[in-house]
Order: sequence, then structure tokens, then C-alpha cells
Amino acid sequence: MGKDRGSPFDTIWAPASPKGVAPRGIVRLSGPESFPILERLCGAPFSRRRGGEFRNLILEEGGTPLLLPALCLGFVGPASYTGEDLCEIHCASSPPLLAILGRRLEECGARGAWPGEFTRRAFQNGRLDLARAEAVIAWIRARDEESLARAGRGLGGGGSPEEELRRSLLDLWALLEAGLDFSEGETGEVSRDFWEPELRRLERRAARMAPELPVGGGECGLPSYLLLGPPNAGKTSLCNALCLDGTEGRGLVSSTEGTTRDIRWRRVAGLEFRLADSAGGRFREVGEGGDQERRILERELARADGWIWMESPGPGGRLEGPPRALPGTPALKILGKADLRGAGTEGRRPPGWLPVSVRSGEGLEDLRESLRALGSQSDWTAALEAARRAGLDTMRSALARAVAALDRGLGPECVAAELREAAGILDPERSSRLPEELLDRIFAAFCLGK
Amino acid sequence: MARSPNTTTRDFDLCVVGGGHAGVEAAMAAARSGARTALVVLDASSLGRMSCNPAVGGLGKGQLVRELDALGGEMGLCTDAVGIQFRMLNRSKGPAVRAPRAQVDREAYNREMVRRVRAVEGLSVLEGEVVDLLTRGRDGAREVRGVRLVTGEILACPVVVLTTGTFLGGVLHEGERNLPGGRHGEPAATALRFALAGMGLRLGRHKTGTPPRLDRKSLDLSRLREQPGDDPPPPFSFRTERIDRPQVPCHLTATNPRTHRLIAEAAHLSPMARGKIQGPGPRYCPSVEDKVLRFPQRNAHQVFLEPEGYEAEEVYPNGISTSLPAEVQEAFVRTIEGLEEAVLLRPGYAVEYDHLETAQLRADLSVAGVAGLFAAGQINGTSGYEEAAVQGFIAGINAVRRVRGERPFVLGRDEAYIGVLIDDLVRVNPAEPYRMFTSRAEHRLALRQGNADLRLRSRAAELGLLGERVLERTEARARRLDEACALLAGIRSDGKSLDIHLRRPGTRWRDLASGHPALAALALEPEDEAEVEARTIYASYLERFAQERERLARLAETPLPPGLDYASIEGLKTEAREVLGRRRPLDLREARDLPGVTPADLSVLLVELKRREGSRPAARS
Repeated sequence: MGKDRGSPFDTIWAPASPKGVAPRGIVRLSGPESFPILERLCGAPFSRRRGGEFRNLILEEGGTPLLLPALCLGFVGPASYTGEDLCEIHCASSPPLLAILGRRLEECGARGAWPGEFTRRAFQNGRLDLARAEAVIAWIRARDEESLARAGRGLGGGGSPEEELRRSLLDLWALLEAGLDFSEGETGEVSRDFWEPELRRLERRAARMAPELPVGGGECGLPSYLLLGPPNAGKTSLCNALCLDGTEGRGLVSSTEGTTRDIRWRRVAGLEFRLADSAGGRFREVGEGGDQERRILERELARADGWIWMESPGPGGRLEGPPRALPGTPALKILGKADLRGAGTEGRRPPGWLPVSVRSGEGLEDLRESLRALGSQSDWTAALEAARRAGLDTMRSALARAVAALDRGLGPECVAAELREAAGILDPERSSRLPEELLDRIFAAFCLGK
Repeated sequence: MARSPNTTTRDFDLCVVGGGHAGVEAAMAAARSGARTALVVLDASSLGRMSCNPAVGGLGKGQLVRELDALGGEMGLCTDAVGIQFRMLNRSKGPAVRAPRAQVDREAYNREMVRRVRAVEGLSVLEGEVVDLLTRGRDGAREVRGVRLVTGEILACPVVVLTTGTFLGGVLHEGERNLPGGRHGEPAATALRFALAGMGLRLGRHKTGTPPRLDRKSLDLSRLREQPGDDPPPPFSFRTERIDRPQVPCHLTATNPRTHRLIAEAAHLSPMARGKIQGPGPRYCPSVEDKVLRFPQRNAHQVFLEPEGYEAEEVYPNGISTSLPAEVQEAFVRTIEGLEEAVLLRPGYAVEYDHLETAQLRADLSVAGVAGLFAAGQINGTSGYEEAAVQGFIAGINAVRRVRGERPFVLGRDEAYIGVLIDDLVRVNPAEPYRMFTSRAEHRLALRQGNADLRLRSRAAELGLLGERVLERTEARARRLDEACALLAGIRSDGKSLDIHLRRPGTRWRDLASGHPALAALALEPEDEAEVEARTIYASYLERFAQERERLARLAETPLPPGLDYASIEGLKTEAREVLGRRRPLDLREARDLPGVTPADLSVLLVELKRREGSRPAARS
């Protein structure tokens, strides 16, 4: 599962047009072999100059040669979406034709891309910044209109709280710099009262933000799985045991059936992974009519990457297994309360089930490992998440130092040095240079220059 | 090819084309370094002429002039010789953002610069228009052979420094009129533009503007606020002991709603508004019509009336640069307090000119693709006398080094604003004329106007343009300041060392010296006191930066295993992966200097090296 994802340096392909009948079928190739593969398909050299050419692609199906007229576009890296050599094939759209084209591309050495892989490459090659890469991923992973809309806001540069914080930070920095870089005759005095309250506000906001990274469903870009099972299987306890901190979204545990009612998404300890504890006991009703909780469960199932089944053995070690009403098969089956099982069950653990005991800690490490394997299917989103956290950490400590400098009586030029660090880190490429947007802000706000 | 019979040829080591602020610094630095230098100008009496306001320095720019002076340039000395008002800006703010500025006597500056240029041995000033750059080889691999003048005369030299300012393809705009020209009443260099474009060099277009000049006798300055100079006047040059010249004040006035109404009504007549000028103008130096249209909520913009000299009849109204028709200019100027009767000696105008796209520049200010060609000043897309002068100096030095086959002289971003300026030009192709701001320097707290001599003293010694005496004096200053700082750290008072006391806001060296005879015994000059205060206030930052620099320097020594498979390192950008694989740098320093390798790539490499180090023992077991 998720192990044979191939190398990140393969040449990958993916259809870029909608499935089914569309006005035009588009297939993209990215990677070092893009041009050679396209040339094999054309049977002739293809110009590396950016531009398009109409070519007949030579396909073959069941021994019958097939010529596919297509508009081929070549983008030489690094000036392409992914930053690698990238080719696009625009042709008539017919599902069987595109299927043949795909097979042919794979014969030539291209590998089918996994979801978001083009974007991942774009991010890694510096063609997309973190915020936008996250937004694109969230967009790809969006499971409903609401999360799609959220992702769209991210793409437009809005969206993530860090991005908002960074924008406020740049505004603040611009204000400080305007006061430093222009004489008072030009700007009027930019007094400390102007910016000090804002600095303190941002510092508090950043300090609060750390444990508040958005949690909730697939739109964050992290893998998400729903934990389902009969009431009292120990799902909430398990979630609590796996989850990172006790303050955030901790489930209420009780032995009364039906205590867990809402679905709350949480990050699993040490793993860049999200797990939701389902509404206990309501799974039976999936597929049946009317109930609001059922609708919530259905919606969450549609958003998630999959679900995990958890059950504690009944009398005699009997296991019911997931009901048919649930879509597909579980990604993992967990045998809960492993410590409670009577003598004799030790030897005959049901195959395919992972025994776990929250109380004794048995099996928790194995479970984490299994979750990690599930998560590795989209582990690069974890890399994004880590980058984002590191950025936030830097931003927080720089803001804290800025406030400390102010309290020690140091001037705005020292505060500005910290703000530079805070703002720069999210954009390591240009960290040493003055961001152009800073100047934009200054000149938009002040009429400067003589 | 056959030439006209009167063709003559003269040989030089290098030739500087253009005699503005970049050109004179380039020519003097080159000639003083011992190169036989030709300075070719359209008008030999125009050397170092100030086309815009009669002032030198300012925030960011003042630091540039101080650094230039510390390396042996001329601008600071010349300013000190003819300045009529000196001020230290941002005195109320931290020492890192203070900068000197001076009003100068425009005519006198020009005369003084001519005198200085004439005094340099081995420097020939030639009058004429350069119409062609002579090269051999094909596009992309050309090599300079010399220049040809409009007369047909050829100056043969292996190196040429272009400092054409606003003259390259210059067009002057005033209202609906426009004509070729580089400065009011002076012709443009049009032929050279075609020669450069013909060589495959990519040119862009910039614009800038100036205000109308007013007749001093027609102004009523008595009602206006005076802006006096500092007493005593702070000199620009570390070599100037003291300035004894009398100081002249500037005067402050402002536009008002009536001014704005007149300008708004006539805005459609400005060449910008009518789409006659395509080049972007600098945002930090907007024309008065821009100010009025972009900030309709403001009902006043400040105007600084700057005297052009002790006796000059012209006054420069700083803040109302415009290219509106002359009659509109006169009308709106007369709405301004104190200027009701103003007589315009000449109208303001906008000038549009060619610049080289700076992606073609290298860190030594040579132009890629034409070996032996250097460029400095506005042709590199900058604005300002000071920005031009420092580039001219660096280009002149490097031109000589090229002639001699020596290593280029490049200043780092952490050494000088000059390094920041050139690095910005080379790495980012600026979309508007580039002006220095202190915020452009990430090491701002370390790059102070007050320590330019200290931080650049070893580089100045390398260049050898300053006399032994000057260098010795700087060394003595360095020792004196170190001693003062050591004393501060060593003397305790109220349980804390004195440097901790000095960090308290509002505390000055003087306050401590009055209570501690050991400090008073040092008898520091005011500029030394200021420097000790700056070092103390910023100590924690400077230490942090120094540690970071040291860490980076150590990192740079990290060797890269020869067999490293860059293709397998995840996280490297494609471009970096390719260039690293091809060039196989020996250590991170070499890797850093490769084109296409970013700081982000270096950190990826570092993580990879650490990972390998960590996994080695595991692999053995």
C-alpha cells in the first residue's frame, strides 16, 4: 500500500482533461524523459523551443497502427509548471483513445502520476510557493463544494492563517520601513503609536496559532481516515491515545453508548495524519433513510481517504466485521481492548486484524506504523505541513524577539530586523532580499519622494 | 573595410564613455590605478553635472557616498568642498538608519569635479560623441577592441566602460513637445544605442523627471519655514576634518487644493497620461501629477525650495517634478505659498532613456556576451547620483583588473550597501529605476554610515587608492573604538558593566564619561562616541549576524563527496540538480556560486549530507 509510488524523478503522465467525453482531451507529461517520449510517439524530433506543433502520434492497438492527430506543446524546464521538462498532448477526447494513449505512454517509460504529483514537483522546483501548493493540493483533494471553495480562496492568495499573518506582518513591516527609509518631511512622522499595538497583536496571534493549525477533513491536504466501529469499541480512547495534545478536540470518553456524537478531526501523535472518531453506533444506519447523523457520516466518508474499522471482541471472541452498508473495504481493521480478551484468545488472533490495547499500550506502535504506511500515499503533503510548521515557528519566535526588543527600549530598526526574519522565512528563496511587495505596500500607503 | 583617409587611431588601456557621476568616478579610479584612461564626453565642461536636484546623499544614498569615500572615491570630497548645507538625517532614530545629506552649489560642484578630473595623471578627457563600439567575434562571444567617434577617430582599447546616463536614446518630454536629448539643452546619444542593440544586448526603457527651476528674486521666502543645516556641519568624507563654509537654509512650502485642481484639469496633457511615455517611472519619485491623481485624499504635498548655490539665481523646488506644458507649470506653481510671483527660468520635463537589462550584468559590472565591456550608472537601470557614482567606481576598478588579468573586486551584501546594490541589480532585473533604501540591506544594523571606513578598510587597502596616512588613521580609529568598548565592558557600576548601562534608552557615552574618568581620558570625537553607542546598542544583533555568517562560512567549507548522486536527492530543484550534476562542485561554497543553485537547494544538500553522516555507522553495523 503506497509503497511502490515510484521515484520522484520518473517521468510521469496524467490526463488533464475531465474523464469521459469532453471537447478536447489533454494529457500531460513531466520529467526528464518527457521530450524523448513525445518524440518516440511522433516518430520524429520535437523542437525544444516553447511552442506548439501539430503532429500525428503513432499509437498501436492490438497490432493495428493508429495515427492520432494532436497538438503537442513542449515546455522546457525550469520554465514550466512543474519546473521540469513538460509536454502536453491535446487531442480528440474519447475515453478509449485516451486509455490507449496512456498505455502507450507507459510502454515508453512514463508512469501514471498519483494525485497532486505535478503540483508536488512544482513546489519542489520552486515554481509554487508553499501556500499555493497547499491550496492546489487542497483543491485536488476537495471532496465537496465547501472545501473546494476554501481551497479556491487559498489559491487566490487568501486562505491559510499563516498567509494572513504574513500579510499583516508585511503591512506592519512596511509601515516601520516607511518611517525609517524616508525622512519625516516625506512621510510625516510614523510614530510608534502607529505600529506598536499591531506588533503586539500579531505576536499574540502567532503565539496562539501554533496549536491551532487547521484541523478538519481532507482539505488541509493531510491524509484523513474515519475511525468507525460499534459503540464502546474504544474508538475515542484510541483516538485520544494517538492524538498529540490533550487540549484540542479531545473526545469525551464514557462507557455509555452514544457519548461520541460529533465527528472531530484530529492530528495523530507524531504523524502527519488526521483521524476522525465517528459518531458511535450510527454506522448501521448508513444507507438507510433520514437521520441527520447519518448524513454527516456520509459526508465525512465522502471527504475522507478511507475508513478504519475498530471492534472489540464480543462474547467468545466473536467479531462482527463492518456492515455492508459502508462503502468499500476498510483500510485497516483494529481489534480493540486487546487486554480484555480472555485466556486462550492469544493464540488465535484473527488474521487481518491489528490487536490494540489503549490500556496496556499493546499494538499502539504497530498501529502507528500502519497509519504511517497509509499516510505515505500522500506523504509529501506531510512535507508541506512540516515546512509550514517550521515557517510558523520561525515567525513566532521572531515576533516574540521583536516585542522583547521593543520592551528593552530598542528602536524600530531592531524591530524591523526581526520582522524581516519573520516575513522572510516563509519565502526562503528571497529571504535576504527586500520583498518587492514590501515596497509596493510602502508606495501604496505613502506619497513619497520629492 | 576602407575608412575615410582622416581616420586616426589612439591607444588606451580603457575608455570611459560618459562624464556624469558614474563616468568621473570610473575614469579617476582607473587612471589612479595606473591605467591609461580616456574619458569621452559630449561636453568637457559638463563633468559631474547635476541634472536633477542640487543635493548629495540622503537615506541609503548617504551610506553609499560614505562607502565610496572609504574606498577612495571622489564624490564625498567634492561635496564637502562645495556644499552649502549639511545635515544628518534621522537623527532622532537609531544610528543604523542615520545618513548625511548636503545641498551643494550646482555650478561649483561641476567646476570642482572638472578640476579634480583634470588633476589626475594618465587621464585624458576627450570631447566627442561615441557612435560605435568596436568588437571582434560573433554575438555572444564578442570582444571589445575600442570605440569610434562621430569624427571617425578610433580609440583602441581592450576595455570600455559605458556610463551614458540618460543620454542613451534619450527623449525629453515637456507637455506636448518632445525632442531627442539627454538633459536640458544637450543632445542625446542615439547612434550608440543602435550599435549596442545590434550586438544583441537587450535594452529596456526608463523615465524620470525634473521640476521647473524658479528665479530666486521672484520668490517670497520670508513667510516660509526655514530648514537650517546642522551645526557643526557633518562632512561626507572621512578625509575632511571640518567644514567652515557658511550654511544656507532651505525653505518649506506646500501645494494646496487650488494647485491640485489646476493639475488635475491639465493632467490629460501630460505625456504620461497621453501614453507618449512608455517607460515606467520611479514610484519613489513621482511627478506632481502622479501625486495628485494617485492620492486624491491628500490636500497638500510638501515642496522643498533648495538653493542652487550661494549666489545662484535659480532655486530648485523639490517635490513638483512635472512634464505638463510650461504654461500649466507656471499657473500651478503660482498657487503655492511664497511662489505667487514665481518666474520660471526653465520648465520641468521628463526624460526617457535606454538602459541595459541587468540580467546581462555580472557582479563586477561587466556585461555578459561582450568581453571587455562594463556598464555603470543609469544605463544599469538605477537612479540617483550616488547609485551611479559607486557603480562607476567599481566598474572602473574592475575594468583595470580585467586589463591586468586580476581577480574582480566584488563587495558582499554583508560588507557594504554597494554590494547590496550591485547584487540586487545582477540578480533581480528591476522593473523601475533602482534607488537605494536602507531596507534593502539585510545587514542594515551593521552597515552604518559611521563605520564605513572601518568595515571597508581592508578592502580599501587592497585597492591602494588612499594614501598610507589615511589608512593609518583609520587603523588608529579602529583601535581607539575597540579600546573604548573594552573599557565599557570592564568597568562595573551598580552591579552591571557600563555597556549594559549604555544600552538603556536615552543613555549616551557622554553621560557615562562624565562619571568615569577612564572613559573621559579617551577624549573621543563626537563621531567616535556615536560609533561606540551604535556598537553597544546593536551588540546582540551584530553578534547574532556574526554567528550566522560564521556558520555559513563554516558550512561553505563542507566538502561535497565526489560521487554524490544529485539525481537521487529529493527536494533539489531541477535546475540545481542539473547544474550540480554537471559541474560537480568540490564544496558548498562552490555549489553556492553556481547559477541556478538557491539557498533552499543548499539547505537540501546540507540535510542530505547530515543524513549520510548519520547513516554511515548504521550501515557498517
